[in-house]
Amino acid sequence: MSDEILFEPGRTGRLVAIRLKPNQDLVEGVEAAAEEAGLAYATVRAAVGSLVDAALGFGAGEGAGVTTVEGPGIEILTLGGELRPDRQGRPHAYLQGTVSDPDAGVYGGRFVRGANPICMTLELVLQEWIPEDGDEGEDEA
Amino acid sequence: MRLLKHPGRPLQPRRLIAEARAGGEWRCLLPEGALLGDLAGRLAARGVEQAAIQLLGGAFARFEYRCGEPAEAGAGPLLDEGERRSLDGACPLVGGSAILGRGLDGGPRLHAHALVVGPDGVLAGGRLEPAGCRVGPDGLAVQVVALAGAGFAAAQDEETGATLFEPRVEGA
Repeated sequence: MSDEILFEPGRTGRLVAIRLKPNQDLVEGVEAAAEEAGLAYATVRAAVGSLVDAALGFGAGEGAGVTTVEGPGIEILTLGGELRPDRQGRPHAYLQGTVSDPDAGVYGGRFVRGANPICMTLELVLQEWIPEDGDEGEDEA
Repeated sequence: MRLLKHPGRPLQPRRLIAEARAGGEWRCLLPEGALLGDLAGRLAARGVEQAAIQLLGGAFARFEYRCGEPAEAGAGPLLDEGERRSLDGACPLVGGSAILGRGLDGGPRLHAHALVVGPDGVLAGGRLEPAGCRVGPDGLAVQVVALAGAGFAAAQDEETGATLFEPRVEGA
Protein backbone atom coordinates (compact mmCIF):
# COMPACT_ATOMS: atom_id res chain seq x y z
CA MET A 1 0.00 0.00 0.00
CA SER A 2 1.18 3.51 -0.80
CA ASP A 3 2.31 5.65 2.10
CA GLU A 4 0.51 8.62 0.58
CA ILE A 5 -2.97 9.74 1.50
CA LEU A 6 -5.48 9.29 -1.28
CA PHE A 7 -7.79 12.25 -1.64
CA GLU A 8 -11.01 11.51 -3.50
CA PRO A 9 -12.85 14.71 -4.39
CA GLY A 10 -16.57 14.50 -4.53
CA ARG A 11 -19.82 15.61 -3.01
CA THR A 12 -22.71 14.16 -1.11
CA GLY A 13 -25.95 13.32 -2.90
CA ARG A 14 -29.27 11.67 -2.16
CA LEU A 15 -30.34 10.40 1.23
CA VAL A 16 -32.09 7.04 1.33
CA ALA A 17 -34.28 5.85 4.20
CA ILE A 18 -34.19 2.05 4.51
CA ARG A 19 -35.74 -0.64 6.65
CA LEU A 20 -34.41 -4.19 6.56
CA LYS A 21 -36.95 -6.72 7.78
CA PRO A 22 -36.06 -9.76 9.92
CA ASN A 23 -33.80 -12.67 8.97
CA GLN A 24 -31.73 -10.87 6.35
CA ASP A 25 -27.99 -10.62 6.75
CA LEU A 26 -26.97 -7.12 7.80
CA VAL A 27 -24.11 -6.70 5.31
CA GLU A 28 -25.83 -8.35 2.35
CA GLY A 29 -29.10 -6.57 3.12
CA VAL A 30 -27.46 -3.16 3.16
CA GLU A 31 -25.76 -3.94 -0.13
CA ALA A 32 -29.01 -5.11 -1.71
CA ALA A 33 -30.85 -2.02 -0.51
CA ALA A 34 -28.13 0.26 -1.87
CA GLU A 35 -28.26 -1.49 -5.23
CA GLU A 36 -32.04 -1.21 -5.37
CA ALA A 37 -31.71 2.50 -4.58
CA GLY A 38 -29.10 2.94 -7.30
CA LEU A 39 -26.31 3.84 -4.87
CA ALA A 40 -22.81 2.79 -5.88
CA TYR A 41 -20.98 4.83 -3.25
CA ALA A 42 -22.58 5.74 0.05
CA THR A 43 -21.89 6.35 3.74
CA VAL A 44 -23.94 5.44 6.79
CA ARG A 45 -25.57 8.51 8.32
CA ALA A 46 -27.64 6.77 11.00
CA ALA A 47 -28.53 3.20 11.90
CA VAL A 48 -30.52 1.63 14.73
CA GLY A 49 -31.71 -1.93 15.01
CA SER A 50 -31.20 -5.40 16.41
CA LEU A 51 -29.67 -8.74 15.45
CA VAL A 52 -30.54 -12.36 16.22
CA ASP A 53 -26.86 -13.13 16.89
CA ALA A 54 -23.75 -11.15 16.03
CA ALA A 55 -20.43 -12.05 14.46
CA LEU A 56 -17.75 -9.38 14.68
CA GLY A 57 -14.38 -9.69 13.03
CA PHE A 58 -11.09 -8.49 14.44
CA GLY A 59 -7.40 -8.65 13.58
CA ALA A 60 -5.89 -9.49 10.20
CA GLY A 61 -4.07 -12.33 8.52
CA GLU A 62 -3.17 -15.20 10.81
CA GLY A 63 -4.30 -13.15 13.79
CA ALA A 64 -7.80 -12.64 12.44
CA GLY A 65 -10.71 -13.87 14.49
CA VAL A 66 -14.41 -13.53 15.02
CA THR A 67 -16.24 -12.66 18.21
CA THR A 68 -19.63 -14.34 18.28
CA VAL A 69 -22.36 -12.88 20.45
CA GLU A 70 -25.42 -15.01 21.17
CA GLY A 71 -28.87 -13.45 21.22
CA PRO A 72 -31.56 -13.02 20.33
CA GLY A 73 -31.86 -9.45 21.42
CA ILE A 74 -28.54 -8.07 20.21
CA GLU A 75 -28.85 -4.28 20.04
CA ILE A 76 -26.77 -2.45 17.46
CA LEU A 77 -25.23 0.42 19.43
CA THR A 78 -23.12 1.97 16.70
CA LEU A 79 -22.87 1.15 13.02
CA GLY A 80 -20.57 3.02 10.67
CA GLY A 81 -18.98 2.49 7.34
CA GLU A 82 -19.30 2.95 3.64
CA LEU A 83 -20.23 1.26 0.40
CA ARG A 84 -18.07 1.25 -2.69
CA PRO A 85 -18.46 -0.64 -5.97
CA ASP A 86 -16.84 -4.06 -6.31
CA ARG A 87 -15.22 -5.28 -9.55
CA GLN A 88 -18.64 -5.96 -11.01
CA GLY A 89 -19.79 -2.47 -10.11
CA ARG A 90 -22.13 -3.65 -7.35
CA PRO A 91 -22.10 -1.87 -3.98
CA HIS A 92 -19.87 -3.59 -1.44
CA ALA A 93 -20.39 -2.69 2.21
CA TYR A 94 -17.64 -2.23 4.77
CA LEU A 95 -19.43 -1.99 8.10
CA GLN A 96 -18.14 -1.93 11.66
CA GLY A 97 -19.63 -1.12 15.00
CA THR A 98 -20.60 -2.18 18.47
CA VAL A 99 -23.41 -4.28 19.91
CA SER A 100 -24.81 -5.22 23.29
CA ASP A 101 -26.16 -8.61 24.36
CA PRO A 102 -29.26 -9.22 26.52
CA ASP A 103 -27.05 -9.03 29.64
CA ALA A 104 -25.76 -5.58 28.55
CA GLY A 105 -22.30 -6.85 27.63
CA VAL A 106 -20.69 -4.78 24.88
CA TYR A 107 -18.70 -6.06 21.89
CA GLY A 108 -17.23 -4.49 18.76
CA GLY A 109 -15.65 -5.24 15.43
CA ARG A 110 -16.36 -5.61 11.72
CA PHE A 111 -19.76 -7.06 10.87
CA VAL A 112 -19.02 -10.40 9.20
CA ARG A 113 -20.83 -11.07 5.94
CA GLY A 114 -23.53 -13.72 6.15
CA ALA A 115 -23.46 -14.01 9.94
CA ASN A 116 -25.45 -11.08 11.34
CA PRO A 117 -29.17 -11.76 10.82
CA ILE A 118 -31.56 -8.89 11.50
CA CYS A 119 -33.81 -9.65 14.47
CA MET A 120 -36.68 -7.11 14.56
CA THR A 121 -35.54 -4.37 12.21
CA LEU A 122 -32.72 -2.23 10.93
CA GLU A 123 -33.54 1.42 10.30
CA LEU A 124 -30.85 2.97 8.22
CA VAL A 125 -30.09 6.21 6.41
CA LEU A 126 -27.46 6.08 3.68
CA GLN A 127 -26.14 9.14 1.92
CA GLU A 128 -24.81 8.90 -1.59
CA TRP A 129 -21.20 9.87 -2.23
CA ILE A 130 -20.53 11.13 -5.75
CA PRO A 131 -16.83 11.06 -6.64
CA GLU A 132 -15.68 13.63 -9.15
CA ASP A 133 -14.51 11.92 -12.33
CA GLY A 134 -10.89 12.27 -13.30
CA ASP A 135 -9.84 14.31 -10.32
CA GLU A 136 -8.68 11.52 -8.10
CA GLY A 137 -5.19 12.19 -6.83
CA GLU A 138 -2.74 11.53 -4.10
CA ASP A 139 -1.25 14.00 -1.71
CA GLU A 140 2.14 13.63 -0.16
CA ALA A 141 2.12 12.22 3.35
CA MET B 1 -26.84 -17.96 10.44
CA ARG B 2 -29.67 -18.57 12.90
CA LEU B 3 -33.06 -17.29 11.80
CA LEU B 4 -36.16 -16.68 13.92
CA LYS B 5 -39.80 -17.37 13.24
CA HIS B 6 -41.80 -14.29 14.13
CA PRO B 7 -45.47 -14.42 15.11
CA GLY B 8 -46.67 -13.03 11.77
CA ARG B 9 -45.91 -14.22 8.28
CA PRO B 10 -42.93 -12.67 6.48
CA LEU B 11 -44.19 -9.94 4.22
CA GLN B 12 -42.69 -8.81 0.95
CA PRO B 13 -40.75 -6.78 0.09
CA ARG B 14 -38.03 -7.57 2.62
CA ARG B 15 -36.40 -4.19 2.14
CA LEU B 16 -38.33 -0.93 2.33
CA ILE B 17 -36.66 2.03 0.65
CA ALA B 18 -37.62 5.69 0.27
CA GLU B 19 -35.44 8.27 -1.39
CA ALA B 20 -35.14 11.68 0.24
CA ARG B 21 -33.36 14.96 -0.28
CA ALA B 22 -31.21 16.72 2.27
CA GLY B 23 -33.48 19.29 3.88
CA GLY B 24 -30.74 21.09 5.75
CA GLU B 25 -27.94 20.08 8.04
CA TRP B 26 -26.99 21.31 11.49
CA ARG B 27 -24.41 20.66 14.13
CA CYS B 28 -26.26 21.11 17.42
CA LEU B 29 -24.92 21.38 20.96
CA LEU B 30 -27.41 20.33 23.63
CA PRO B 31 -26.64 22.23 26.86
CA GLU B 32 -26.05 20.78 30.29
CA GLY B 33 -29.29 19.60 31.83
CA ALA B 34 -31.12 19.16 28.52
CA LEU B 35 -32.77 15.83 27.82
CA LEU B 36 -32.00 13.99 24.62
CA GLY B 37 -35.75 13.90 24.06
CA ASP B 38 -35.82 17.71 23.96
CA LEU B 39 -34.06 17.54 20.62
CA ALA B 40 -37.19 16.32 18.81
CA GLY B 41 -39.25 19.32 19.92
CA ARG B 42 -36.47 21.79 19.13
CA LEU B 43 -36.10 20.35 15.64
CA ALA B 44 -39.88 20.37 15.12
CA ALA B 45 -39.84 24.08 15.99
CA ARG B 46 -37.46 24.51 13.06
CA GLY B 47 -39.77 22.53 10.82
CA VAL B 48 -37.68 19.34 10.96
CA GLU B 49 -39.82 16.26 11.55
CA GLN B 50 -37.70 13.63 9.79
CA ALA B 51 -33.96 13.36 10.29
CA ALA B 52 -30.88 11.19 10.59
CA ILE B 53 -28.90 12.14 13.67
CA GLN B 54 -25.33 11.25 14.57
CA LEU B 55 -24.23 11.61 18.18
CA LEU B 56 -20.81 13.21 17.88
CA GLY B 57 -19.44 13.79 21.35
CA GLY B 58 -19.91 15.04 24.86
CA ALA B 59 -21.32 13.24 27.84
CA PHE B 60 -24.50 12.40 29.68
CA ALA B 61 -24.99 13.04 33.38
CA ARG B 62 -27.75 10.43 33.47
CA PHE B 63 -28.04 7.66 30.92
CA GLU B 64 -31.17 5.52 30.70
CA TYR B 65 -31.32 2.64 28.27
CA ARG B 66 -32.69 -0.82 27.61
CA CYS B 67 -31.25 -3.99 26.11
CA GLY B 68 -33.71 -6.22 24.32
CA GLU B 69 -34.19 -9.71 25.66
CA PRO B 70 -36.08 -12.79 24.53
CA ALA B 71 -39.76 -12.67 25.45
CA GLU B 72 -41.67 -15.47 27.08
CA ALA B 73 -43.25 -17.78 24.54
CA GLY B 74 -46.56 -16.52 23.25
CA ALA B 75 -48.26 -14.80 20.37
CA GLY B 76 -46.52 -11.45 20.88
CA PRO B 77 -43.17 -10.12 19.67
CA LEU B 78 -40.17 -12.40 20.16
CA LEU B 79 -38.30 -9.68 22.04
CA ASP B 80 -39.17 -7.69 25.13
CA GLU B 81 -37.79 -4.21 25.35
CA GLY B 82 -35.89 -5.28 28.48
CA GLU B 83 -35.61 -3.68 31.87
CA ARG B 84 -34.87 0.02 32.17
CA ARG B 85 -31.25 0.48 33.17
CA SER B 86 -29.72 3.75 34.34
CA LEU B 87 -26.33 5.22 35.06
CA ASP B 88 -25.86 8.36 37.14
CA GLY B 89 -22.65 10.35 36.84
CA ALA B 90 -20.42 11.32 33.95
CA CYS B 91 -21.04 9.02 30.97
CA PRO B 92 -18.85 10.13 28.05
CA LEU B 93 -20.26 9.24 24.67
CA VAL B 94 -18.45 6.71 22.54
CA GLY B 95 -20.90 6.87 19.64
CA GLY B 96 -24.47 6.46 18.56
CA SER B 97 -27.16 7.57 16.20
CA ALA B 98 -30.86 8.21 16.03
CA ILE B 99 -33.73 8.33 13.61
CA LEU B 100 -36.32 11.07 14.02
CA GLY B 101 -39.67 10.27 12.46
CA ARG B 102 -43.39 10.30 13.13
CA GLY B 103 -45.02 8.22 15.82
CA LEU B 104 -48.34 6.42 15.50
CA ASP B 105 -50.06 9.58 16.75
CA GLY B 106 -48.30 11.72 14.16
CA GLY B 107 -46.06 13.34 16.75
CA PRO B 108 -42.26 13.13 16.78
CA ARG B 109 -40.66 9.83 17.71
CA LEU B 110 -36.93 9.51 18.37
CA HIS B 111 -35.33 6.07 18.10
CA ALA B 112 -31.77 6.27 19.41
CA HIS B 113 -29.07 3.71 20.20
CA ALA B 114 -25.73 4.66 21.75
CA LEU B 115 -22.66 3.49 23.61
CA VAL B 116 -21.11 5.35 26.56
CA VAL B 117 -18.42 4.79 29.14
CA GLY B 118 -20.16 4.52 32.49
CA PRO B 119 -18.94 6.26 35.66
CA ASP B 120 -17.25 2.99 36.66
CA GLY B 121 -15.29 2.89 33.40
CA VAL B 122 -17.36 0.06 31.95
CA LEU B 123 -18.89 0.34 28.48
CA ALA B 124 -22.67 0.43 28.46
CA GLY B 125 -25.29 0.98 25.80
CA GLY B 126 -28.55 0.01 24.26
CA ARG B 127 -31.78 1.60 23.08
CA LEU B 128 -32.00 4.98 24.77
CA GLU B 129 -34.86 6.36 26.80
CA PRO B 130 -34.70 9.92 25.39
CA ALA B 131 -36.65 11.41 28.30
CA GLY B 132 -34.23 9.83 30.76
CA CYS B 133 -30.93 10.80 29.15
CA ARG B 134 -29.73 14.08 30.66
CA VAL B 135 -26.80 15.94 29.16
CA GLY B 136 -23.70 16.55 31.26
CA PRO B 137 -21.62 19.70 31.90
CA ASP B 138 -19.81 19.77 28.54
CA GLY B 139 -22.97 19.43 26.50
CA LEU B 140 -23.74 16.87 23.82
CA ALA B 141 -22.86 17.53 20.17
CA VAL B 142 -24.99 16.00 17.46
CA GLN B 143 -25.13 16.34 13.68
CA VAL B 144 -28.57 16.43 12.12
CA VAL B 145 -29.45 16.01 8.48
CA ALA B 146 -33.12 16.63 7.76
CA LEU B 147 -34.86 14.29 5.35
CA ALA B 148 -37.06 16.06 2.81
CA GLY B 149 -39.61 14.31 0.64
CA ALA B 150 -39.40 11.07 2.60
CA GLY B 151 -38.61 9.80 6.07
CA PHE B 152 -39.73 7.33 8.70
CA ALA B 153 -43.16 6.78 10.25
CA ALA B 154 -44.13 4.32 12.96
CA ALA B 155 -46.37 1.47 11.92
CA GLN B 156 -47.71 -1.68 13.51
CA ASP B 157 -45.62 -4.39 11.93
CA GLU B 158 -47.71 -7.50 11.25
CA GLU B 159 -44.70 -9.81 11.00
CA THR B 160 -42.98 -8.98 14.30
CA GLY B 161 -46.04 -7.71 16.18
CA ALA B 162 -44.09 -4.60 17.19
CA THR B 163 -44.45 -0.91 16.42
CA LEU B 164 -41.52 -0.06 14.16
CA PHE B 165 -40.34 2.72 11.89
CA GLU B 166 -40.89 2.27 8.17
CA PRO B 167 -39.62 4.49 5.36
CA ARG B 168 -42.37 6.59 3.83
CA VAL B 169 -42.49 8.93 0.87
CA GLU B 170 -44.19 12.14 1.89
CA GLY B 171 -47.72 12.35 0.55
CA ALA B 172 -47.79 8.67 -0.39
